[in-house]
Amino acid sequence: MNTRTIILIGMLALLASSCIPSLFPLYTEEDLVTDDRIVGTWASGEMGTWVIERLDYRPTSDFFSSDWSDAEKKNTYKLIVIETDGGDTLETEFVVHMLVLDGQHYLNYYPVDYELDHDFLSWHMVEANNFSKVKITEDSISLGFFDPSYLEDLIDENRIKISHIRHDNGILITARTKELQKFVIKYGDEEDAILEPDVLKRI
Amino acid sequence: MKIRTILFILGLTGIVVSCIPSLYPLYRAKDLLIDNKLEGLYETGENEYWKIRRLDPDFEKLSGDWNQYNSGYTYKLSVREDDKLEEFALHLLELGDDLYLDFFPVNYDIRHGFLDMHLVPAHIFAKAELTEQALILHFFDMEWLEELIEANRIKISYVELKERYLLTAKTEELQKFITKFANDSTTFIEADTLMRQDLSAGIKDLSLMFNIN
Repeated sequence: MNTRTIILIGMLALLASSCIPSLFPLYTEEDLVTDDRIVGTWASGEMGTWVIERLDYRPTSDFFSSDWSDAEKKNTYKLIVIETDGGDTLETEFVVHMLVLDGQHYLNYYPVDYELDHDFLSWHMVEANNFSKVKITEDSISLGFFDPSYLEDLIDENRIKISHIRHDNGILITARTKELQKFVIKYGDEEDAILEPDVLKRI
Repeated sequence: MKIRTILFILGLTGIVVSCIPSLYPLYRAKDLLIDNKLEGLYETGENEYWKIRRLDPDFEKLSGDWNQYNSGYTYKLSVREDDKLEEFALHLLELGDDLYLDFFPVNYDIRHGFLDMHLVPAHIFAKAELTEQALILHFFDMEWLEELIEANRIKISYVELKERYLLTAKTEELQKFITKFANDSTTFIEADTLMRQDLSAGIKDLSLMFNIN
């Protein structure tokens, strides 16, 4: 294995582990807001290209496949994340909701339309929500994901009681939305709880 | 919303699986068994194979996420689908009078990084029969579970995902649930029979097919 391969694997592992997946969403209907400055095409080195559309802007457009028929159309965004791997272009779609908790804006992400190239593996994989703080300007989006190692330390030191399960790749939060919101509100302003923001630039 | 029953077809021979994922394993350490008949190579479709072998920490050095499977009661299942290979920890256990297999992915690879952040691994399991020539798998039927839940006939812990249910019950609750319905003919989809291959009969070289130890 050459150095470049090791570095690439390391980067992917870092990205994959840089989040705290949750069985339940961060939002309730009453928390949802919109800010259409987020609509557009955005570039970020490690995170590829993001294309964001407001779902209820063009409800009859072919842009929305049938897999989106179940998605809540009000206050909902559609995110397409385009990445490259080994010369292949990979696209996956997510439903995104914007919400406000304690005066802070967050995004909640959930995969909608995806395929894995190994059928038996796909049966073992369960979709989860992810969430980040978000700050939007005309030309950029700043995303602050919670640091999973910070949560692990809190749990290991018995400083927090949030429902969760550990798996090979980290922690899955199993707390219901209200319990999850309490955690996010409590630690959302802790500097160490949030990873260095990923900044996406408008293309 | 009625949850859609999803049938996934694995391979061209038509191994149809409609399985129920679980956050927790079906087994406790004391439930585990070893049966050498489980080991072998199984052809599951055109250019699709399962290879099962026992992990024996006394005779090999385990690496990566396999380190935690050092009890001597773990089998390594390598599933090749065309040119894609994935590995699963496989555990054989007995509940009541029946054998079961618990499957869990290890060292898996999801190429899309942001998608990888949104997928977590879960256990699936099947009732199993082992003969000298075959491994017969009875996967649990998602439609059966859906009907039980809608009829309010069970109280097992679960959450509703977009297209299926995820069991969130811990192992003890899970085992009670499974054994209660183990002999109900509606519990399982049609059995999948995997024939063990005769390695002296011209099967392609294993190291070429699996590119693994």
